[in-house]
Amino acid sequence: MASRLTKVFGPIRAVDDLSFSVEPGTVTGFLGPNGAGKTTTLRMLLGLATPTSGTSTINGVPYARLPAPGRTVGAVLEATSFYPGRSARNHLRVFCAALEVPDARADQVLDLVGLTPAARYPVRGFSMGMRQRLALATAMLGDPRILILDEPANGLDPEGIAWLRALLRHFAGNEGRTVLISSHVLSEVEQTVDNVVIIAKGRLVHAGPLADLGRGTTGVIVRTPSPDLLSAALTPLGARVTVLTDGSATVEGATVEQVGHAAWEAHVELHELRVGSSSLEETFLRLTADPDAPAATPG
Amino acid sequence: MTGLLRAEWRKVTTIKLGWGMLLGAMALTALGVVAQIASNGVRGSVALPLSVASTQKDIASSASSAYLFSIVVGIILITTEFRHFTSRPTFLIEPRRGRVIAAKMVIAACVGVVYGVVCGATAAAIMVPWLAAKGITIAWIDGGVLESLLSAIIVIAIFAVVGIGVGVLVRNQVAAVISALAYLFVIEPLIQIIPVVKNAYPYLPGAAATALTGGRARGVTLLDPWQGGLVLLAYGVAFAICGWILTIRRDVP
Repeated sequence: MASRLTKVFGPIRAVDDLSFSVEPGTVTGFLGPNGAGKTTTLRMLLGLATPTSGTSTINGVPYARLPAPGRTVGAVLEATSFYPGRSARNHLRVFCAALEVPDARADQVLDLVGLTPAARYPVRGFSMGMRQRLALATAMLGDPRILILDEPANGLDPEGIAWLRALLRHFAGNEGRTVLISSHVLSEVEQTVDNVVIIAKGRLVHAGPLADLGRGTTGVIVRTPSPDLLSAALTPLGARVTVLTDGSATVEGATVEQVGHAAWEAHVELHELRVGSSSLEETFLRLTADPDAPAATPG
Repeated sequence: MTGLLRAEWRKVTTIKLGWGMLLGAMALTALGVVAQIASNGVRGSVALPLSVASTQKDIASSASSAYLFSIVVGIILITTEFRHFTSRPTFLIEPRRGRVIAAKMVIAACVGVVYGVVCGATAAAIMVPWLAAKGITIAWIDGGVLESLLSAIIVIAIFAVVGIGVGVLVRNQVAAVISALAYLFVIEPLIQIIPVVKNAYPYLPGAAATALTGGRARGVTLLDPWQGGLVLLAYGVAFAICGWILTIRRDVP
């Protein structure tokens, strides 16, 4: 889908030589910390922003050359695209006209996202969650085969997130439709996505099935003020110590008991000693950690 | 394209602001007509008697003052999209941005014609019974009064299109409205009184609009009505082309 996409804003390379593809019929999570270039990438994909270099295609052609873009792709880029004084139904009817679909479609999608009771009210009184729903309804108007959603869970309460998951699962499970969903929190989309594309600082750091992501971290995690001493004590055992950016270290090639014993013998002070979990979130944080900045401890 | 036109028309009719601006335009027209008729013949008034065709034309062309409202409506139609980011779904559904801007300009011109017709009717509705009560017949055809009313409609429609162009250039809604009004109210009148520079005055949009409706300006000879019409049309086309090109080249906010 994207090939060597680059977008430069002044001195900042917001998206830097990014290439990835999304398989038809899958749900793909597009992940990265805030400011990683997710929105900019999606905007280029959708023809709203012109890349400085590189290309992107949907179904083999650039977005603007799709025969019926609004009926092929439904997209939500932040749930703020409403005129405050216009009612939800009128908002949708404007785009029914542009899409050349019957006005009845507006009521169908309102029903789909559960906004029928609020259809006649101006959007200015809508909560963030209602706006997300209306934005999603707008994206669904043209009954697209592909959905592209930028941080759709923002502003949704836990109930709303559960609703969104169910809706996306329903959408994707239906005749192999494709979803690309961006988020800065892996756990938000963990239960929904098949594949992940992870970017940090505009560059690709990982792409592949979600299941592969957990295989990265194994071994033992220790936190110690003197990692060098520990490393010296463990090297004879054939273990390898890697110091991470947040001050902790991972030990590979030794069991948690071996590490504890070696530390006790070498009089190395330990603040934490545990089996490395293969939490997706931790792997995600490790992949996207900024080596120049002090890493935040996942809370 | 018909879908886009319908979408743009719905955008206009589903916001209250357009109706408010129309009321404003009617009020401004009515004020101009009433002021001119009521002050006519009062001591110190320089206007020719009401029975003279040129006075009647001046009164009828009060309707053209609605162009102040139509340019603002044009600006608002486009800047609202950028301000509230409705530009996103709009350009997602039709990524050929030139077509969206073209549709918007057509609708702006239609809205301008509606404003023009309503304001022209407002002017006529006040002027016809009032002058009849004074026993004065209106020189509709031979005196060119009808022509003044019709050219007012053209002026108002063209300014609505110019408004779209201004809004594309200056995407910030408030900045765009303020700069357009500052230009028409402050800069153009200043150019009118500065020696040498004022030679260019007849070719400015406000002056061209005045010329088209058969009006006059103090200290400067305006173009003939048809020349004024052409100059104004040229501004409309220039702003339309600018707006079209800029929309295609720039990223959508």
